[in-house]
Amino acid sequence: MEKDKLNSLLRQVEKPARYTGGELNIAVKDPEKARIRFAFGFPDLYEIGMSYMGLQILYHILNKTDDIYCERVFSPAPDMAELMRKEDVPLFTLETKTALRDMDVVGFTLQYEMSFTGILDMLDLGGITLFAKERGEDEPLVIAGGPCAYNPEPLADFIDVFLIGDGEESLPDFLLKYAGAREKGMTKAEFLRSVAADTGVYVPAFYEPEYNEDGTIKSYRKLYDKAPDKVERCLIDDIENVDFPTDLIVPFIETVHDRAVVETFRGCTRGCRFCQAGMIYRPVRERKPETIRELAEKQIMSTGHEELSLLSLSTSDYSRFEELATGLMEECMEKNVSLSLPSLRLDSFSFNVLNEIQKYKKSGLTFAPEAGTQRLRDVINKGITEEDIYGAVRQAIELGWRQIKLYFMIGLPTETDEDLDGIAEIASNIVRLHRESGRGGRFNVTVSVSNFVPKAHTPFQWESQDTAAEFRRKHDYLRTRLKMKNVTFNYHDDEVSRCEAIFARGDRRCGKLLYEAFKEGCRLDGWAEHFDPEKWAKAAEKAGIDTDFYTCRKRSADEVLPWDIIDCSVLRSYFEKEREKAYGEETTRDCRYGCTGCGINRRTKCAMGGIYE
Amino acid sequence: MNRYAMEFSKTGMIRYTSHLDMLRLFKRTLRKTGVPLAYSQGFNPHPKLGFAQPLSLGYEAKSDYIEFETVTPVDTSELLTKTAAAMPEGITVSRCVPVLDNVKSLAAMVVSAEYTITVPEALYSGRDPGEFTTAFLAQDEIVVKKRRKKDKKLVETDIKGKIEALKLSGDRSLYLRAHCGSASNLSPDLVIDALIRFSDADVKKYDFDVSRDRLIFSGEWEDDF
Ligand code: SF4
Repeated sequence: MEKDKLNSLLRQVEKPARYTGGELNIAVKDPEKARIRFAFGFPDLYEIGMSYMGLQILYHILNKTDDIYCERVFSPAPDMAELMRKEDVPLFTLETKTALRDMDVVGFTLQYEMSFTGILDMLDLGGITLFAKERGEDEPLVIAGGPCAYNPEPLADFIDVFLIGDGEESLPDFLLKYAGAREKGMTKAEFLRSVAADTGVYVPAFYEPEYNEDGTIKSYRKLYDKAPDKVERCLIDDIENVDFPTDLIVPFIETVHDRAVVETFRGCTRGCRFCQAGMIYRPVRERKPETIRELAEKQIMSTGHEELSLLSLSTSDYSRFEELATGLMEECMEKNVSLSLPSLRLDSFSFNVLNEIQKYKKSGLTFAPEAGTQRLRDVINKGITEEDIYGAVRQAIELGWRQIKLYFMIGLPTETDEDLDGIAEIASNIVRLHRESGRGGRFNVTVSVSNFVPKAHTPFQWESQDTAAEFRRKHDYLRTRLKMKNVTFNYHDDEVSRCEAIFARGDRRCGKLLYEAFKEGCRLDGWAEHFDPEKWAKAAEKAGIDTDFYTCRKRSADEVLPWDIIDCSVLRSYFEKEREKAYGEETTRDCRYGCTGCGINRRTKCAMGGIYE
Repeated sequence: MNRYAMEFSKTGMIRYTSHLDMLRLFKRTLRKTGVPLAYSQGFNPHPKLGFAQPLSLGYEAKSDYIEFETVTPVDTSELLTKTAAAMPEGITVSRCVPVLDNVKSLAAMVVSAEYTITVPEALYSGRDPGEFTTAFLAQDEIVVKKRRKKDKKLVETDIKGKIEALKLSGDRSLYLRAHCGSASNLSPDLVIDALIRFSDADVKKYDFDVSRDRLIFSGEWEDDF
């Protein structure tokens, strides 16, 4: 791109360093020498995308080989996007400032549904035809992956290929195959047919959904007979063997998480019934403590970061956590690095650790009971009791914590007002514990309430979401109940949660909604200041979409679900059984205490299954 | 305490990295080199380092300085090599020298600065650039609107007294020397505003490019060099 033009743009926008590239540890290569050029797209602002570890992992792995040049691209902020359109400057990669349309493959990571409009915006700004079927041979192949790819259908019109599951092996493999195909002069269609049977590859063009009169899906008709009936996710058996980056890119500007990060394990054994991550990342696969410490040390050396954090779905479930935490604490102390350990289970060991690493500055203590009564916590299989919370709070108050944060979800299956009362009760009990401790001083309990969004590939995938009116009633109800001294109440906007729910379980027809929303100018919908419910309502009307059909409709057990095409390797019968148990208020144990039969062990070994049996 | 100053330039895309972000960059890079930075005392210790003078976002710098303290004396040439290797593209460190204990901070010694302002051709709207510049300087007062710090109000102010020199240095570039530092400061941004005001051409501020070429210090520091 023309340098003067870019400079003139950068002088006019906020935070221009979002668009300059050139950070420490980026890949500098001669694009001419790579067999394939890949743009890794994160459909949100730079500071969000650069905090996402998956990007750093894949960037590192892809750029290890000279055959691939992986560059980054993020959603431009509205000021930049407007200027680019006005000045006719195409969206470009940060590394070499190449227009997206000139890349070989453009890939998007799908971390949350509310980033979907960003994908359309980025394609459009990058000069790429939006609809996959209209895209030319000379345009890039557009691919996507990440957790939201487990229900790919709402994006099926725009994406050529979805890669489902762990990407560290499948993505480089896929890209090199595409490089080979083009060198042989194959067309895109020929190439797609050649990889259609590969594990994790979903090509929407090879399937056509047929609908029943009531709007539900009747079946999927295959348009290419060698395409699989179900696409199995990619699964790496042992993450110890896959490369993890130590030379992280270090952004110039402040990002959400500006720190060294090591993934300790992937997956979760707890089995919360609303949680998609807990299902689609099974089984638990750990890295060795020695490896983690070595990676941490190298990262700190190569980045100069002053903070180290661990990445997993629940930090203290790591099987050798005490050993690991003790080691890392020593290491960090020595190097003047602060250690941050998210989502700790608050037992006595964790308290000692927290007390040590937050000696001077105690951040808030966080609990996520998710539901207000034991009954409802049993329904969702959240294994935390009120006594767990109060015991930990007592200890926290003793040790000088002044701020307790509580996370709840409302609109969960079988919820009644009694469960909402329970939320207020927990908050008031905590305030009372502080009063009774006689410690005095400032004390605050923050209650944050999010709205339940049923997700694909979970035991609650058939459930109805609350209506907007019901959510609002519950918010009002809670607001009155939580009007207490020392308690702050936050809740999520219900319109956003409903929008999220449409795409979380939407079918291919939702692509129309997405397109209309994009045309209305919906962007960065994950940001409260950008989300515009009126535009979305208009888009739904134009697309002829009845949003209630996707949100507050209970699916019957025999309904063909849009995401049935994807096999997450956990058995559907397991989800059904878990749902029944939920209705019976019956819990399922953490499978470290004995396998509970989710079925993932048909494909791989569960190293953690039953270790505490 | 062991005080050091490091000279560096900032060119290319990295000019869009702000003052605070530059501080973080230096902090990280110096940590990476393993230099024993001295930390401030207190609950939230941070390394003692600072720039001689902040640089506006978007400006290049040919010769800037960062000052820092270490716990034990360091080998400056080794530190320089390590820092140079660890810096991203656009930052070039050129020398590292000890600063005597008894002198003020570099920031306190900056008095003025030299700049190159690259202007859009349209600015002169057909007039002879030299003549334009002379006429500009010949004004009795050079008035611009400036946002006042205390109440954020736009007020008119005469900047002529803060311009030490302004002359043509190329077809499309001007040499500016102006007050800089805590005693009296003039941002080249305001000079650009005044140039635009003086010209009748439709030029935009973002068509100008600024490079700060040199910081000028009051005597003491220069002597120690
Ligand atoms: S197969 Fe059994 S042990 Fe393995 S993840 Fe599923 S429930 Fe746990």
